[in-house]
Order: sequence, then structure tokens, then C-alpha cells
Amino acid sequence: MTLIRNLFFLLTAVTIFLPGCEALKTSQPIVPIKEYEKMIVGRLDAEYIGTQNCLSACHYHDTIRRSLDASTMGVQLSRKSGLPIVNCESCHGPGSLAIEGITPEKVEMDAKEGRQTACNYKTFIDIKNIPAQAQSLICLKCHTANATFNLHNWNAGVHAMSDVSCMDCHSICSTFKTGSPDLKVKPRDTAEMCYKCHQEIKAEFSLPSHHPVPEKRVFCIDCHDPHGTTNDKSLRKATVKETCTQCHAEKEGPFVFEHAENTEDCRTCHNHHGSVNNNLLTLREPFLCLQCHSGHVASRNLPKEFKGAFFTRCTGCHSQIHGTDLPSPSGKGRFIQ
Amino acid sequence: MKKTALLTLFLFSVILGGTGLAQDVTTEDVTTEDVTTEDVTTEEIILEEAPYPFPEIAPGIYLSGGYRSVSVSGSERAVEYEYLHDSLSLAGELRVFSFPHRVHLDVDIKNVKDYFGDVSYAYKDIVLFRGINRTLFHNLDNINLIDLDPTTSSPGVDVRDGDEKYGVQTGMNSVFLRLKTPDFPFHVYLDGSLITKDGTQQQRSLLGSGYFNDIVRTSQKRDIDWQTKALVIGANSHFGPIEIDISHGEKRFDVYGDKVMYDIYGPAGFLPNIIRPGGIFPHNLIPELKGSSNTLKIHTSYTGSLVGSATLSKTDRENRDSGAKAEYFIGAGEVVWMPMPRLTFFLKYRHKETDIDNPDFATITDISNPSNTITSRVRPSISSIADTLSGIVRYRPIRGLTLRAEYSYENVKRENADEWKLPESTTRNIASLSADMRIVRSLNLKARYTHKEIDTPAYNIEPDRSDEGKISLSWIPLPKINALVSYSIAKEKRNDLHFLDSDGNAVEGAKNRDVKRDKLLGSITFLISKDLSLTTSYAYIRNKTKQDIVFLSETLTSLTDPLVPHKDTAHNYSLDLNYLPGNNISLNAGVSHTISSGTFYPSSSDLLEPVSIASFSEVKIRETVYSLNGEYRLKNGIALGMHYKYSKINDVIGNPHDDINDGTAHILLLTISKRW
Repeated sequence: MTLIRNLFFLLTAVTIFLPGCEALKTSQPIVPIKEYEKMIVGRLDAEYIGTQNCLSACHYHDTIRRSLDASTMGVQLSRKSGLPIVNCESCHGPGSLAIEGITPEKVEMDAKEGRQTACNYKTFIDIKNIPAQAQSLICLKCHTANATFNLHNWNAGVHAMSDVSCMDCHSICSTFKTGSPDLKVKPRDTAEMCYKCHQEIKAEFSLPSHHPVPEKRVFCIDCHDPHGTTNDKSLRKATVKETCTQCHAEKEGPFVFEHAENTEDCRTCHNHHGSVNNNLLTLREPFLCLQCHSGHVASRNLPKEFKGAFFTRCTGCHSQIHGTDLPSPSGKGRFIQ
Repeated sequence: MKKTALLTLFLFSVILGGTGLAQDVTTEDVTTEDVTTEDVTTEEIILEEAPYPFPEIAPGIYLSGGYRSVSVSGSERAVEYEYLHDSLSLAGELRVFSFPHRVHLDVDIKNVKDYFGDVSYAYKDIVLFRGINRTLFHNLDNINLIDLDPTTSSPGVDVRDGDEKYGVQTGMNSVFLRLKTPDFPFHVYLDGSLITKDGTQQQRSLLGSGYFNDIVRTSQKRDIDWQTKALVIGANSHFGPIEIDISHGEKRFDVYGDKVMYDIYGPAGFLPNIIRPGGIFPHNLIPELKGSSNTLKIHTSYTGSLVGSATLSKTDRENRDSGAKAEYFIGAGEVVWMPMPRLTFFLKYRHKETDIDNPDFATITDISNPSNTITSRVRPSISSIADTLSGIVRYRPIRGLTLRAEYSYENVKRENADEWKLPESTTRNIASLSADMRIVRSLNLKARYTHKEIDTPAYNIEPDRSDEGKISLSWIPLPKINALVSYSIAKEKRNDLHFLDSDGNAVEGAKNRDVKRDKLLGSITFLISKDLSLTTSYAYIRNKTKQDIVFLSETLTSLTDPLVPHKDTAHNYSLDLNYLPGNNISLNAGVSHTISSGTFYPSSSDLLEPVSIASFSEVKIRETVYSLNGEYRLKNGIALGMHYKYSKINDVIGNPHDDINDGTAHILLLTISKRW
């Protein structure tokens, strides 16, 4: 019933909002950033010449052209796609000055002689050397209605704040080189891309207990959204617990007997990337538990097997430490049963 | 509090929506005076153009078959995440770019329990589909329980799984489907996942009586067959200055294997005070769960100098076995204002309500005698309200220097805190400063310092105050050398630890806790030639905790062992070499060697004699992984491949109580492939 109710709510909302919005889709930024817009508009004395006169005319760029055609942006080279036009000049700026003086005959002759016809690429936008925010603005000027809405928190996210631009991870002109229609690496290799900046995290994954990220079975983006979220550490889910229990649902609860609030933040006991200790524990048992809990009886006069039972591995007996629905023999929630 | 949060978020929306009134003026300023907007010009010209002729791109096909040979001796932990059996392997890739269709298929099957598949399809980008399967086999431990005196029945151990080998096959499947309306930015999407776990694992439990009168630590086999299903459906669109995304999610967790275990328990308690008669009782129940969530996201202006977003989310979870319920409400808002490119202000607010409703009583029944039912009172779980407000300023005084200052205030209020002897409120104040500096063109420095103060921390692991610093230097001294050095250190201090004795009263005397964590990382890459590169790196990780610990004496009075150190260290050395000796040969070789160790050092003779409690958990492990990969490309897209991996784990001190044993594994995969 909840699903049906929510579906009804969703459809009603859509029905109410959709009509009359056609005129609004061409909206502009509320308060534009003039300086950055100047950087990405290109030479004002240049004219747009279209892809036909750019990549398509220069065989040297055939690979780039094929990559762009095959990228996620490729279909937008044609109006037939039902999407706004995107071509070389959408990002690189108008190209008439770059090809000034170049004729198809010259390109052909150069190609026959094995030469690349040099164009004046300095008249394009200097994408590599403009600030990261301006680089991202090249993408954001169109991606204001991103399909998956994963740019919702981009501007206040840690990457945008730290001068990381879209182009540090994405490329639409290298599909055939990277094997991905929009990333700089194959989707399976995204961790390698993250390690370029987060090398200390790579070191943590080399510890004896780690999530299978080096094995390429778990991806960084399973837990983190590089486009930013409202959550700590750009977690994809709203809480640490919700993130971990995507896969470890047996530990999610709620349980009748909870381990206070500790299970709300799995990092209380676990180092999620990697640890010297088994099960990604921050510290080894029993010290891990002795940080907060009084230990059982320990005396030099007691036989050693008591120490073995009480201080080897707390979770050997308190085996439902993440929470349980069954009371312990003492009638309390000691996580034994 | 929820009203306050909603009001705050509403105000965010109103303020941001209101700024749309300024749209005409500001847009006009820029577009008419400073900038000829590219969009308009591009569109005009493109509309006049002939339709774009998509080039014919032949489908790209790659197929690879091979044989994977595995040799293991000792512990399978040598390769934790691989199914260690010989097998045929198959891999393939298909890329079709035939407008308006785009298909991408990537498959890698190592064996029946270890495979990967990624398929995506797009039709004009109006329809987008992606499905990913990742299945791996996780080799799990069989921990050997040790009885230091087998002649006594209690404490004792009951090992029922001595020869069992454990492992769980985990399947992570996800699908994403997005539909878009042509010529209008309205999307409907579906995001689903299915996580399966299938196999066996060790279940350790306290049996005997389950109480101090009869302690029998037990290990036995448990069948695992779990499924977690999650589905989110949603829609988003672009309504002028505002964008809205609304979604609904459902989640279920189902248990098909050993949902609960049953064992014979003896009478619990010391005569004459038997607190639970003996019987056959359930234990280690894995409850089934269900839940749902509703999320609303509002956003305005990605590209402007004033950007805002708000998220409202409500999630509920229900334990289908016990009826325990949890509800989470999260409201979050962010505003970014960039008055000039040099200066940016960020303001973030997050409100989280956690409302947990657990039953007042829990019952356990002896299945051999249903009249033997014991009902216990349950302490109410902790519900809480957390509010976090943070402000950040980013300033670029000169080109190549970025400074950031951040202040964050967080307050957590708890319900039922008195039942748990926890503070009703905890406040955290966090301030940090950071700098990114390009000292010279080839030398970049990043530095960050964070100071945290916490009033009335609830748990001992949280400090009263902490200081954290990080500095990293990246240097390109020569065009073919790239070096990185990074060091981070964190220090935490706590002066008022909180322990409870066996009667639930606060223990006096335990006060101090100091934590020091640091990491050092060094990495250098040499581009020896255009065909040869070498990367070496070293990482050092140290985690040192020193704190008072509490234990009970024979007379059940609390004793304190002051400032007991616990130390973990790890050194990792790695080397990676890529070499292209010819146009048709590529080679990659790597070595990674990790030495990790840890122990703690109690000083009380009660903890050290007749056997030290530290000896049970002392660890020192060496792990070495060598890998060698090569491909030799023949004619017509045919290639021969070789992937070899040698992995060795060495339990240096051979602690019988831990779960680490020596092991080595050789994995050789030989392939032949064809690329079209």
C-alpha cells in the first residue's frame, strides 16, 4: 500500500508540475559568474563552423571524432536525438579562427604527404589552464538538469571545493582509448582514478583486512559519490550505517537489544578501507571492547583458562554484537544469544 | 525540532527561489555587455546546418578464453577474495555505436563463483540502461577455539567444525534504467539492487548455560543464504530556476539459510539462584527486515554564483521478526555564494532525527518445553536528534594559492539517555584551516589542520579534544620524475572516561585516554623511457591508543590498569613496472610487501599472570604479492596473454589464538584472445 500511495503521490506531483514548464526550460543561472563565463565563451571575434568543418574535415582527428561519436555525448551531435546539440565547439569554443586559411584541398594534400595540417589551436578555449571551476562550468552549463541528478550537491561538495573539475575524471573524446563512453578509465578501474589523489587510501587497502577494492569487486563509488552529497565523506547513502548495510543488511536492525547508538556509525569499531586487524576492526579484541566496557574477572589467582575464555575474543561469546532480538540467559541484552 | 528543520529548509528554498527575481537583471548584465552567449550562437548555426552524418563505426568485439590454474597450500587467506579452484575462464567485450543505439558489454568469468558483467544500452540517450553483476567468493576463517585447560569442563570449548572450510559467494547486482522525454528535461528512473550471499560461515556462540556457571565457547557451521533487495523509483525535472527530484525506495532483507540456531542450554545461574532453567533455546537469530524511503531534492542554479540545494528524506525500517522499528528523518540544505571568483562562502545545515521503537519485553521459549518461557524487560533504545551547521570560506589571494577555513557546530540530543547512563546531549565544535599552494610550477603543497572540541562525549572512544594535521607535497623535479610525500597525524585526548561496574554503577579512577594516529606515504614514478615506467611507493601506518582499562577482581570490585598502550603498525612497500618492449608486447610486473603488527601492554599482574591477556591477540603478519602480466599480440587481432599471481601470508609469531595461518597461493591464467 505504501508503494501505491507513494506512486500516486509521485504521479500527481508530476501531473501538476509538468504543464506550462516548457517555457521555463531555457532558464539562466540566477546570478552568473561573469569572470568564468568569459573564460569559457571563447574568442568573441570567432565564428562557429560546426563539426563538419572541424573534426570531420581533418583525418588526423579521426580517432577523436570516433570517440566523441561513441561517447555519451555522441548522439547529441544530431538534432535527431531529441536532445540539445553538443559538438566540439560546445566545449572548445568557436573554431573559425583556428581553421583560417585552411582549405579541404590543403588538408588532403597534407594527408597524402603524411603531414598533419596545423590549425591555430591557440584560438580555442585554453581548457587545460583555466581554473577548475571554469572547467566544470563548461559541463555544468548544459548539465543543469542532470538525468540522475547526481550534481545536486556538486557545488558544495568536497571535490568542487578542492578545485577538482569534471575533467579530472571524465572525458568524452577518448572513448576508444579508455574503453568508457564518459570516464577516463574503464568503469572497473575507477579506483585507480581515485588513487591518483587519494594515495593514502590505496595504502589502507593494502592492509591484511580490506574490502575487495583492489580486487575490483567493490568500487569506491559503491560508498562514495564523487559528485558530492549532503552526507559526511560524500557518502552515497544518508548515513554510515545505511551505506554499510547495502551489503551487510544482516547487521542493520533495528533490533530489540541495540548496542546503544554505536551501530549507527559502523566506524566506531571498523576501519572501512582496511586494517591490520581482522574484520576491519579499528583495534583488536579484547582491547577494542575494553575501551568502553569493564573486563570480566581477571586475577593472578584464577586458573589461566578463565583468562582464555574472558579475554581472547569477546565476540566469541557476545556473538550478536551488532544487535539481537533474543535476551541473554541473564535476561539482559548482552548480545550472547 | 522537526518543525524547526522544515522551517529552515523552507526558508532555504524561499530565499533561493526568491533570488530568481534577480534573474533578468543579472543575466542581462552579463550576456549583453560582456559575453555573447555561446548557446544562442551555436544553436542558430547548427539549425542551419545539414544533419550530422554519423560515421560508420564497426562494432568492437573482444573475446578471450583461457585456463586458470590454482595451487594453494596452507591458509586460503593467502588470497582472501578468490575462489581457489582450477577453472576455464572466459572474457569478452562488445561495443556497438550505431546511432541511435549504443551498446557496451563487458564480461569476465573467472569461474562459476567469481565473475563480472557490465552491460549498458542507450537509445538516443532517451533510454539509458545499465546492469552490473559482480560476484566474488570470500574465503572465511575457521577460528580454532583453544581451551587452556581441557581438564575442566567450564570454561571449556566445543569445536564442532574442526575441518570445515568456510566461504561465501557474494553477488552484487544492480540495474539502472532512465527514461527521458525528448526535448524536455524530465526523467523517470529506476535503480535496483540485489545482493546475495550464499555459502557457509563459522558461528561462534556461548553455550553451556550461556552464563558464568557453565561457560562453553562453541564453534559450528552455519548455512548462509541471504538476499537484500532494494528498489528506488523516481523522477526529476527542470522547472526554470528550480529543479526537483522525487523518489521512493523499498528495501527487503530475506533469510533463507539457517535463520536461527538451536542448542541445549543448561540451567543458568549459581544455585540456588537459577535465573533461567535449562532447555533448548534459539540463538544467533538473523532477523528479516523491510523498509522504505521517500526523498525530495530541490536545487537551483548549478552554474551561477549563488547555488542552493535542499534534501528531505524519510526512511523507515522494520524488523519483521521482533517488530522493532526505526525511523530516520534527514533534512539538509546547502548554499554556495561566490561573490567573486577569489572568494566563496559555503553554508551547510543538516538535521537528522533517529526514532527507534523497540518492544518493551522480549521472550525466549524452550522449544522442548513451550511452558519454559522467559520474558525479559527491554531497555528502550536510544533515539536522537542531531543538528549540524557548518560554514566554509574559500579564498584565493593570489594565483596558485587557495585557503579554506571551516567551522562546524554539531549537537546531538538523546532520548532515554538516563537508561543507558549516557549524557543527554553532546556538542562538537570543529574548526579547520587548509591551504593548497603551488610553490613553483613543479612543486605543490597541500596542508590542513583541524581542531575539535567535544562537550560531554557519550562514549569513551570520543575525545574531549583532538588535533589533526596533514601535509602533502607533490614534486616533478624533472619531466620524467613525479614524486609525492604525504604525512598526517591525529592526536586525541580524553580526561574523563566512563565505565560501569557489574551493578551498573560508574567506576571511579579510570580517566585518561590518549590516541595518536599517523601515516606516512612516499611515492615516486620514473618515466625511464616512453616504453618503460617504474613506480615505487612506501606507506607507514601507525595507530597508538593509550588508555586506562577496567576489569573485575575476584571479589567483583573494579580495578584499573592505567594507560595501557595498544599499538598497531603497518609498513607497505610496493613496486610497479610497465614495459612495452615492442609494438606487440606489453608487460606489467608488481610487488607488494606488507608487514603489519600489533599488541597491547597491560601492566597489572592480574592481567599478566598466569598468562598475559595480551598474548591472545598479539599479531604480526607478512603478506607478499607478486604479479606478472603480459600480452603478446599476434596478427589479425589475436593475442596470447599470461597473468600470474603469487600471494603469501606469513603468521610470523604464530599466535594460535588468532585466525591467521600461513598460506601461499599461485594463480596462473593463460589466455588466447581475438579482437575484431
